Amino acid sequence: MSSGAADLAVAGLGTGAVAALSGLGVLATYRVTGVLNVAFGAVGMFAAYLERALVRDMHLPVYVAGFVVVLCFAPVLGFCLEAAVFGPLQARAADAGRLLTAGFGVTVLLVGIATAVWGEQARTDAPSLLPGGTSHIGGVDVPSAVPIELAIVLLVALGLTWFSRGGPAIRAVIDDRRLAELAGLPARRLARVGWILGTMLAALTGVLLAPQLRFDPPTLTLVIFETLGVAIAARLRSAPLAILFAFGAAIGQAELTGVHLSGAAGSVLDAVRSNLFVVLLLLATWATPAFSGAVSAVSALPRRGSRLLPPYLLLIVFALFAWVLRPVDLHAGLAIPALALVLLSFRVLHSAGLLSLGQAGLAGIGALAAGWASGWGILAAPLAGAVVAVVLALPVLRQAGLHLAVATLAAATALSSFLFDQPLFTPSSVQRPSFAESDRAFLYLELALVVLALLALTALVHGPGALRLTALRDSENGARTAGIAVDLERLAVFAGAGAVAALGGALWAAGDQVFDPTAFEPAQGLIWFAAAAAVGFADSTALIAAAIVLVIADSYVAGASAILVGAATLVLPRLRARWEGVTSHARAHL
Amino acid sequence: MPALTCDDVRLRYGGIEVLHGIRLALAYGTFSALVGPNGAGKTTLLDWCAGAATEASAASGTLRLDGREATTWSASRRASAGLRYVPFERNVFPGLSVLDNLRATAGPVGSESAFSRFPELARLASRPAGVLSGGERQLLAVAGALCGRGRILLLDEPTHGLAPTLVDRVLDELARIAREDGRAVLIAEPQLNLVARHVDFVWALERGLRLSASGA
Repeated sequence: MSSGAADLAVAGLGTGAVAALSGLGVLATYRVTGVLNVAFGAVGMFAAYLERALVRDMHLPVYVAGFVVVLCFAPVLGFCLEAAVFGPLQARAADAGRLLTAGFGVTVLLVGIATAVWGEQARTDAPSLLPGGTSHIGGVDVPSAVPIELAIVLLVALGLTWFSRGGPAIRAVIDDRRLAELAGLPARRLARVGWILGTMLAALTGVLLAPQLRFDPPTLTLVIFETLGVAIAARLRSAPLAILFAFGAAIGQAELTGVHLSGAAGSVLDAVRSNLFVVLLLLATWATPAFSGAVSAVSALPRRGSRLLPPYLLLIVFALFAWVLRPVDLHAGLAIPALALVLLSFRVLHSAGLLSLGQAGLAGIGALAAGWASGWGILAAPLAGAVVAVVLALPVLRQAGLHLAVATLAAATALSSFLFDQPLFTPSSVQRPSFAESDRAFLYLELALVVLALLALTALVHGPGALRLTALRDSENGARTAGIAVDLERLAVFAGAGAVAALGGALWAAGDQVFDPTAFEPAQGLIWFAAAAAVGFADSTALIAAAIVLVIADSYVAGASAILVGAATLVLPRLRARWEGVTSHARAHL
Repeated sequence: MPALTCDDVRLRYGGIEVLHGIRLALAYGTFSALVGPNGAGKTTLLDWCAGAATEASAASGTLRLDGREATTWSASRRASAGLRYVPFERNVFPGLSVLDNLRATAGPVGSESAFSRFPELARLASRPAGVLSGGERQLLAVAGALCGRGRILLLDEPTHGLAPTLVDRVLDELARIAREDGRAVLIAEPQLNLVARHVDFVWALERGLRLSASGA
């Protein structure tokens, strides 16, 4: 290896160590609790912001701040997450969908709080816990931080290995937490340890990573989240494999900086180099065997729609209200029908028991199509969305629950990194159709398209194919044995949901008359997913109402929608469960 | 004082009530069977008693363990209070060896006791539970409960999948620990004739409607 290549490889060790710590944190929580901590990216982001605030705003020494954040704040947060959110959910035997929703609820809540407290502007002044400078060892430049980072990874890996090879009781809890609880083993105590360890490692990841980046709350959350690929590639089991993948991807990324190409190939290479962990995440979700059971991810989520207020009535009220809006409010309101369509795409997926965290990516495809095919792009968007949805669904078509969710999020992340963020592919403006160029005319066009989507949804949910979809949602195996072409049905549903989301994205971009890649970032998609989960995937009226609330909230305070959605995701399902308990009790005594 | 009492248990799944005001009481030193046809609600009732009912169910009613109100207790707290439940499925730790399964559920002393009572398990001691046959898993699960420290045992169809010669032995052992160790044992079983000569009481459940006890 040449000296230059060796220097690059050593530089990659630092990033690899941080990714390894992140992966080990995910493993620590997952192996003890069975919960994939999707909030670890947000925890790392929040810890990095807190560290920065303690050092830059309160002038604490960097090591004191690090101690406060990683060894005091993070354990308390981990304990609270287990005690208040995930422990009670697991005690009620909540399914993968509910746990995932809670995880993303925590994510959007932390992103919202960070945005509200520290602002949404990008920052580059995160303090570094580790020493700067380099040493020259054996002809290679070694950053002083690298040996320390490697030592931390080694210590953490050894500690986790020792912990997971503990007595039979610990291994029993790791093997089957539910059964361990029934057998009186200390599953809850171990779960707390798992959450505390996982949260501390996520915080350490954020604190170590932030000084190397220009970051804002959603971006830093996503960058840490992308390292999830190392844990998934290790099948959420093997700590050594996770470390191997982390260092492999990081060294590969570093070595690619030594390769230079010109023209479009150079742009693609730049994109791959900057997003190698996204590639790993995508490939890991496609290639690894299922890492969650064949539980329908949305089986326990509410299925009935609202009977009090039909969605059409809500749209009529909105249309009448829009007639008297000031021009500036009317323009802001253009996002409401667009977002309503994206949220309604979750309703389409729910009809077959499917779950996708990639709807933001498909909305972005719709927006791109609207920009590329000027004027007629709005009509081309559903087709583009359907095609891309089918292509992205194919590799994971037979996966379910958590695996499917993470795979679709990985796909959205890849779309955002490789397509939306590349000036090569993005249009400079997005035209509206000539007959709807004014804001008011465009709003009524949007509302008409939402009505059409609702009619199509009604046909889907109550039409001749509804029984097949219900069978698919309730029991995939049962549906297969009944002769239903499960894979084809799933593809059709993914395509339909992709078309609806893409139409929403096209309207969004045409409303703004510009393609804004930040509008279709995966973090934004998580907020939309969490909002739909909080109000109920099956309730079209509630989904439209959620779109209204989110758009209004964000037009007043940046990050408000994230805080609202995060809180709603954590509180509403609990209130709903309590309400069901109360009504059940009341029925019993009538 | 009864070991376990259920009072006016009503349980719904997806809007359908499957248990309609069930009352049940278990005393220490007795071996009881909960019998009823498929779909009667036996597993649902045991799940509810053990705190293993799923989120999809909405329940009302009162559970008491040793006279203490335990309705809101978690599954692990009920287990710590002496309630040991062996579900029908997923009742062993598949990644652990047979010996470690017994150590985890019955402790070191209990595992020795299990091997002496069921020598069939001793021969499989080092084998992962995940590769055992259905009957072997069932025996392992029952042995873990039988030799553990639980004072109130609930077992869902513990003889399912066992060889005919083992069925009698398992039921005899359950009867023995109930009477000699003074524990309260309740098994759910669809076939009355299988358990009638072993148990002290039979609780008959009919479509979740009625639960009547009678001496066997």
